[in-house]
Amino acid sequence: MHGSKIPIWFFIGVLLLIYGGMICTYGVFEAITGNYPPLVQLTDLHTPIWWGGFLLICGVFYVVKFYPRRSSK
Amino acid sequence: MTVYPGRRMAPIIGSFFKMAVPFIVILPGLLGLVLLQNPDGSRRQLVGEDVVKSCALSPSDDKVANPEGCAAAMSTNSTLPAAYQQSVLSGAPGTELHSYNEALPLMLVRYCGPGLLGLGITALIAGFMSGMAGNVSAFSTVWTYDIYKPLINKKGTDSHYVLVGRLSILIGVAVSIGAAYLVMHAHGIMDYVQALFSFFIAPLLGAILMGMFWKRATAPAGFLGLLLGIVTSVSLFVWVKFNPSELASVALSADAKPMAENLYRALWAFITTVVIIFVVSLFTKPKPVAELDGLVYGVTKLPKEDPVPIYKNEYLWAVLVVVIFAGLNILFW
Repeated sequence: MHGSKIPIWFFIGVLLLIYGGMICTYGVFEAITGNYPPLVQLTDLHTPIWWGGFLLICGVFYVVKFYPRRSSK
Repeated sequence: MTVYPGRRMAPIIGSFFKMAVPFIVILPGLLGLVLLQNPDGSRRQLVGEDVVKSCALSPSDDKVANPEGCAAAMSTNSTLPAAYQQSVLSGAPGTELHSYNEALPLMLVRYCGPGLLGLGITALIAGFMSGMAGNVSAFSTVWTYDIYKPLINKKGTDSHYVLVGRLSILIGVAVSIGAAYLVMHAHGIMDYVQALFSFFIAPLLGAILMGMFWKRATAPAGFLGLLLGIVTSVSLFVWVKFNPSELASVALSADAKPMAENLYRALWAFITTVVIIFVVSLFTKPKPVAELDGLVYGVTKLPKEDPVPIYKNEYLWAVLVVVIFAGLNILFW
């Protein structure tokens, strides 16, 4: 498309990767230590792991697919 | 002439999202009514923003600052049980009032821990911001291109119009911040928005439909119809505000809820606009039909279309929208 310009989807992938990584890691930490926030309900479903993991996978997909490469032109 | 089926598909795709709005906006509120709890495990009762404002705590001692005003607001504008009202007035811990506007954030707080909660709030704010950005750019375009350029300064340079557009954004945002304070006097954001829709959107719909489908409609009639439609709607609102007993005249029932009142007000405004446009058009000079090509259905030359696969046919999707719309209305009547 535009030679060596970095696609915006790459940044979106990086954002999803960071958010997903942080949330998933926190979820795993929460599950291992059993240290859940007191007023939050349904903690046994481990939502941070699932949603964090989902964001992480989306992030990896976008980062890999739109990783900026030097244009062959 | 080239045909772009995508152009006609766009509003139909948009209508699907528009139908999802009640689900996104109302369903969390309904779930919140059932699921939200106070810290002691009792069911949390949400009230209107106006009641929350009347029952604000005094900064010095965690008690209600104006007990008389709070008691009056709770008894007239909320369905809180008497015992709950007493505990709010006595400042019992965990009984501070929350408004309907907070249903979604409260649900997020209940189900999302650290991390996910931040993401949820970010998503909400991102949604508000993108809506705001769309409105702001539309406002600046309409002001600069449709009002300022044709009516105020026809000979400006491009950079001049860009400057006017930017200034209009600044002024528009300042006005919208001011308008946000008005919401604090309303029962909730939904009531406020629906009241505004009944003021402006309902008459506008009447004007657009008459203009699109009736070639005899004239510009002065459109202007007058729109203006008087808005005036009618605002007058009905003010009338009921100062004479609450007149609710029976506007909404056909003395027990009508605010939403029913909004809907009836919108209906009267719509009918007023349509009738005025019809009558005034008959007494004003019509535009030559030749000038209406591309503007009015029926006198616009429709381009010939090539056949498309069934899933790309906008009539199919339009029928689907109508069926779902009717189904939802019957289901939630």
